[in-house]
Amino acid sequence: MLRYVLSRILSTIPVLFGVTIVVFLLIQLIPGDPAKSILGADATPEAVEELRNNMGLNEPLIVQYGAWLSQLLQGDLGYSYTLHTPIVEELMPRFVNSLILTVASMLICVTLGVILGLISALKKGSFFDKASIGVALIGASMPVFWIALMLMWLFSIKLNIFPVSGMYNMRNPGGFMDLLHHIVLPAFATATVSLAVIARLTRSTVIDILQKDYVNYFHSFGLSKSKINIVHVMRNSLPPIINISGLQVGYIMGGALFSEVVFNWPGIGQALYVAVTSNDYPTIQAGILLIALTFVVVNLVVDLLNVWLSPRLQDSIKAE
Amino acid sequence: MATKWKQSCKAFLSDKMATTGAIVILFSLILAVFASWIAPYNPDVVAEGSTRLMPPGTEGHILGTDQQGRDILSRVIFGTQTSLISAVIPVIIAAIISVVLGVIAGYYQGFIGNLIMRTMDIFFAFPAVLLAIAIAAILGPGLLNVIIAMIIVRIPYMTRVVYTDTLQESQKEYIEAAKAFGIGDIEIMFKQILPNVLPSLIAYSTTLAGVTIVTVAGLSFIGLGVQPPTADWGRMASDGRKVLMQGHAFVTFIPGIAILILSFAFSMIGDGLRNALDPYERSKVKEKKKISRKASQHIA
Repeated sequence: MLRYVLSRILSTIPVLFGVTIVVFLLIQLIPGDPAKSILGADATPEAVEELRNNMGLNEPLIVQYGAWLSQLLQGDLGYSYTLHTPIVEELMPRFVNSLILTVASMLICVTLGVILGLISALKKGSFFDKASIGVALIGASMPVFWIALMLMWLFSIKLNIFPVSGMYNMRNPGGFMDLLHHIVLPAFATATVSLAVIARLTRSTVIDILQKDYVNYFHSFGLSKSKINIVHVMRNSLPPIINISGLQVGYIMGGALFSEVVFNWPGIGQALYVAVTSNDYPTIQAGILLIALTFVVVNLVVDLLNVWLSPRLQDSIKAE
Repeated sequence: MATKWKQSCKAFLSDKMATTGAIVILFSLILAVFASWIAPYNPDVVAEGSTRLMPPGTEGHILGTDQQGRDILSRVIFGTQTSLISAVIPVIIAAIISVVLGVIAGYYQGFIGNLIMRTMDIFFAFPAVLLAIAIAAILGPGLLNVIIAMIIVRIPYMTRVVYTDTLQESQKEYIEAAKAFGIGDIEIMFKQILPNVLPSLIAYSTTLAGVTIVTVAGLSFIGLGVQPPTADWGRMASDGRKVLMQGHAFVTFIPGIAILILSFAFSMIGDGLRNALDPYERSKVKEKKKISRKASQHIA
């Protein structure tokens, strides 16, 4: 078991390395002179030449990469020529804000997805079931930014229940409850698509398990229905549900970008949006890198959780 | 071979959701091709006599007008062009590249296979939307760059599908037999294995086309896709954001529904194709029908 955990952790090292290479090469894709594009159209030739030297653009690619990577390892994400700040200072507080939104969205999609899926499965064929299958089918085809805008229109503008934008009340920021009030809409907008996916899978998994012989045995032993459903059926449906929830992390992180833009959530996604519209390439590069590195670590954790929670996977690892 | 296709077609047509999806796509294709004849107004300019933000249902403007006074129905009709192009073309090109990469990786395995698949792993380390945004942002706005970004983003997923299928096929006896006959590697890969891995790739590609519509709309929303004044659904929804605050939701709502319908249609076709092209799935469905028929006869 320990060997598996270690080898899984070690296997992320080449991936992390590859991610840095891809992100580094992104800047090379800029059409024309990267230094010129970064500084903008009205930069003086001297300034461009100076930046070329600073970025080491006159050096061979491999030397540039080495210099960039060693800076990165020292926690230096580069300098934004648009915002005139070191990018770390700009992105780090935003990183925490994005993390808060991502975790909230994950909580929503997993808990609600499982509950909806379970109820649908237990009441298979009912109106509730049919309605939720319909919603779950369509839910996966909706753009996150559109869901966000529609939620905003309904709950902020028409019904005036939740705030239109931001993370805290501007005039008197009020701690956790204030945050909760602000996070509801962006978190739901981010979670909807994954919620639909998880609900569908939970439903089909639970329906499969309900038809298993051992569930019938429990019934014939006279165990109470709710106990069978909650203890035995749910526990056996967990592995596939955890697996698909892990796969949703990427969608949630991608979707959060759009919710952040719509609801002005001060996270990395919003910073990326500003960077994209102002051609702030170093910030784009750093933002992408941060999200990708987080994604790799989260995937690792999900994989390990998966093995820890499902005895069958543990057995197959032992057998190897 | 011919009967196999006939069976698949029959299975597909008996799937109501998939057939509806196909009709929707066909309809939108007609809209896209004949947009300039079908659309009541020029989508890019303000029609004579119309004012801004006329609500849906207004005479002459069934879906209303946007904040500039342009006819929304005409813009939705013209928007099918960019939506279909940006959904279908990247998926087709990515599929061609993925077939080559996936079949080679699955057939040779070893060093070449590892090299290809480990490279793909690196791309899996990025959430797909994020990678698309990154590439499109670096290359600059415009439809072509969005297409390039989407090709790069889709390749890893499709290559993995082709790779796993090829891996399974190469272990089968007919490949061993082909090798024993001295048939060359290239011929085995692309004449023997390819036809067997193609069905699941086609089904998967169709589903991905639906996903791509949504992703491309997201890129447009950020300002990376088709540039104004060209009609584009993602862009329309994004432009509507400014008047959404004043309570005019329909400018955003309508193009979003269009995105939803087209994307959903592709994913329904994808599901239908997967069931129709997979003989195992098909026989399972048939078996179930047979059993239920027998059961009902028994009762009768």
